[in-house]
Amino acid sequence: MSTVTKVSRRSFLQTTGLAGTGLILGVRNGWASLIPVPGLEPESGVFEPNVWVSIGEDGVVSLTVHRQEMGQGARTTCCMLLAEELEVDLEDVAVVQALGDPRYGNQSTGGSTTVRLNWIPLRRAGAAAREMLVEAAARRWGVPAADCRAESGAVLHGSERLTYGELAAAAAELPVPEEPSLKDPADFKLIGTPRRLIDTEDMVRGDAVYGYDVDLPDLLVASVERSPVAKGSILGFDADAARAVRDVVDVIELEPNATGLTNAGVAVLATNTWAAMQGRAALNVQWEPGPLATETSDQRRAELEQIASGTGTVARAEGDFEAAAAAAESVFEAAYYAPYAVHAMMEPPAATAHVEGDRCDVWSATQAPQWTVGEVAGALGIPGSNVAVHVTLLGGAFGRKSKPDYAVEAALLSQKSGRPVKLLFTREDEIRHAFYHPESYQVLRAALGPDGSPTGWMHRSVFPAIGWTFPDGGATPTGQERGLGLSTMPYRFPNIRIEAGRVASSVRIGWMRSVCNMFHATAVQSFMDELAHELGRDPVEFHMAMLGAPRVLEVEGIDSQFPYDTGRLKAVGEAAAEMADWGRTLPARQGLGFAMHYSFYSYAAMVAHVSVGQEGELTVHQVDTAVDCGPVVNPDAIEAQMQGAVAMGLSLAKYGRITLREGAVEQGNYHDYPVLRMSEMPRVNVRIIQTGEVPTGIGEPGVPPTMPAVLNAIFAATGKRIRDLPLAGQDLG
Amino acid sequence: MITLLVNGERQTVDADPAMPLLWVLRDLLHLKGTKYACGAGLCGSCTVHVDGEPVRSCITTAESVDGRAVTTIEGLADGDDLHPVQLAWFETNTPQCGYCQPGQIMTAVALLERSPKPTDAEIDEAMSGNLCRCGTYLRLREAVHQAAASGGGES
Repeated sequence: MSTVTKVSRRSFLQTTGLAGTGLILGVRNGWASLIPVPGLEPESGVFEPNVWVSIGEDGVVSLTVHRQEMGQGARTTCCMLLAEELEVDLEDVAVVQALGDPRYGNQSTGGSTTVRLNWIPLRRAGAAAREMLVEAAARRWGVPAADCRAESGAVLHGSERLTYGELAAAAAELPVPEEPSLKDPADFKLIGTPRRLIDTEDMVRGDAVYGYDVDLPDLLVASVERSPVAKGSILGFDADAARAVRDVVDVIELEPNATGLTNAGVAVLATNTWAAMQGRAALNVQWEPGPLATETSDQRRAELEQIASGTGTVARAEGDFEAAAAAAESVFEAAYYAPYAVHAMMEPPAATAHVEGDRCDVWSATQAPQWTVGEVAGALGIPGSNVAVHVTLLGGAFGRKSKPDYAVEAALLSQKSGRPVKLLFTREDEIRHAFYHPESYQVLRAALGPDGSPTGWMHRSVFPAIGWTFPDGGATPTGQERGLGLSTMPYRFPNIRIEAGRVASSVRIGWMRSVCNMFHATAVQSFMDELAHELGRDPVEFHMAMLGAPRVLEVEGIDSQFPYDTGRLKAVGEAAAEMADWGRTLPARQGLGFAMHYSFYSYAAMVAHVSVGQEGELTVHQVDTAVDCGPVVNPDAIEAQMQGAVAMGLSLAKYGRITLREGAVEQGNYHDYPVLRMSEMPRVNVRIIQTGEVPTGIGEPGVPPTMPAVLNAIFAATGKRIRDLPLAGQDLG
Repeated sequence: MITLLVNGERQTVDADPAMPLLWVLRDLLHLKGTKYACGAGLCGSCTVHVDGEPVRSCITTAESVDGRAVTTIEGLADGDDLHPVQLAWFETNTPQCGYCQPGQIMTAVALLERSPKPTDAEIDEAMSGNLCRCGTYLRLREAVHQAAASGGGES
């Protein structure tokens, strides 16, 4: 951290909510204001061995979190890793949320990477600080460092004790160890214990600060009417009508930006949100919809099917599937469709910007502060070093808040209006101006030998790629996208051919919690279930037989540092089946469905127990799930993430559908894009299996198996095989 | 001018009479604990109490609450002491992102005042108008039971 304060650190934290280069979220942790305090000079005696740890002579230990909190527990988990090695109690630290800054390494909070990629770096940061504090104490006492130990923010030797505050100035003079020794996991005090998320009290008090809640003197609120079709343009609008609305201050036209993140729009700026919304409603913008006003969902399905009947880019080929199919006794085939979907997180995107000359402060509920710096700097034409991105709490995100479009709009509006501007998406904006989970159409074929033994696997997946969103991106799914559940198929078929088809989209494509894993798991796990029934085999027995002996699968999209071990997948599958008492007899119209999936280097399996009434009403009673995400940091957060993943997967299975008419999204709010309610929530039993040496993803891996587990359970209950999502509107009776 | 009793304090605001109470609270009175999420009474995130009854503040106009008493999430705790319902939420580690939780808590407080020992079915009925995209529903239900057990409805 480059800025340290002359005032007492504690009073500084209490009065400004800012420490070093970061900002503190929430009153409990000292948030009182979001306004930077200028003119503060560095204070001597502050111990800052790296960008994550800071200890003042007053004894205040500040830990900086460089990943973003959206409910997955990242702030707490990062603090646990630092505090474990630093030997401080979590209750005794001030938590600073980092600005977007390359010194932290990759800050983008997505892809379930926070713990996997910071497991070693954050522990090293804490351990380096601890070693320096111990060394400082040892020198003070004239004893060997090896005879001293650190505990709860102090160094001890016999009956002697020096607090970290007392040692801070001396430790600051010592060299930072390059290879600090990490604790033996057997000595962990924090890691592996259930911890409440550090922001919980602020949240239940209503004091937690999200992107929507930023307040500044002289603030204007902006609401933007955007082109209903991506890349549409403005023909005209009634600025006078908007200006006539009480409390409206300005009307500003926004051009689409060069990087493809923002579309054309007209912003109404007012002294309060309601006035901005009312002014916007009066604009009556006339649009030229442009070249993308073509896609209508009803016609789209046929296009996807047609593409799937051709060949795609080969993602994985082993043996010769075509020869196996030609020699087969029979070829079993099925096709699966899932529509576009959208995040619908509770807090719509929100960002505040204040441009002053060639500098800009941004306060954003963003997963990607570094990308925000770059985009804002580019849009304003100022250096990235002049942009400070402060990160608030995120009221849900699920991938949507990885895109910095809303911060760019806020920054441009502040530059043009000369005032700080808070840009707020409404719910309708969130649904209609998203970066969508892609729709998909997938064809799967299995070649079956004369004795019923599977001899070949063919999977062709057609979906619009994320690259489609950007001017320099292609429409062909990348290896990384194909690695999300397509090329990672774990079963031992002697002949395999896996392809991805190319299709354009008239909407922007983005990441949504587990991304392509959702539809790939749905297809693969439904198809395996179908195949088991086709062959007259028990589904779980069939899955396990097809996995065969454990092996490390080396396919595209997998970082070989974190090997994909099919034995771990088998273990979670067997555990989930055992938890659910798989094979038990159930009453009529009830069923169990099994699914398992590897994603984000973690392994998850589920058994769903459903019943389907005579009229087709679906009840999901219980989901038993086993997950292996490596060594556990916070078991309470793992349970919460698996419960939440079931809720999201079930929401999507039941309701998730975005449709287009001439390129424009037809849905707009929770009445036409419904999500799961409490009364629909099943019991969720979570078993955590710990293997491996590095913690892996937990925010996303629970979502993919949910949908196929439920669909397979519906088949078990009714004999109806659902291959198109969502379930809403389909007759299960 | 519209006069309200907000969390026990008399407040007078110069607002468009049609402005929803949500924006009066958030933008004019700077009480940010009450959340916007749908603007249409569909999700419960903006729930506050007006004269003790839970209402969706995003579809409740300023003029309709003139002269009435409004309680928001900020008005529940007694200084450092959390309201029993807030405490139950805290002890059960219910929040994930936390954004919907003020609305969930306000709905639960009203439920427990009406029905101090609700069944699962009563909880589901009362709380199913409050959406949570993180999927904290299981812990939410547990938190309501815990608040009920601690006498949260009688505070």
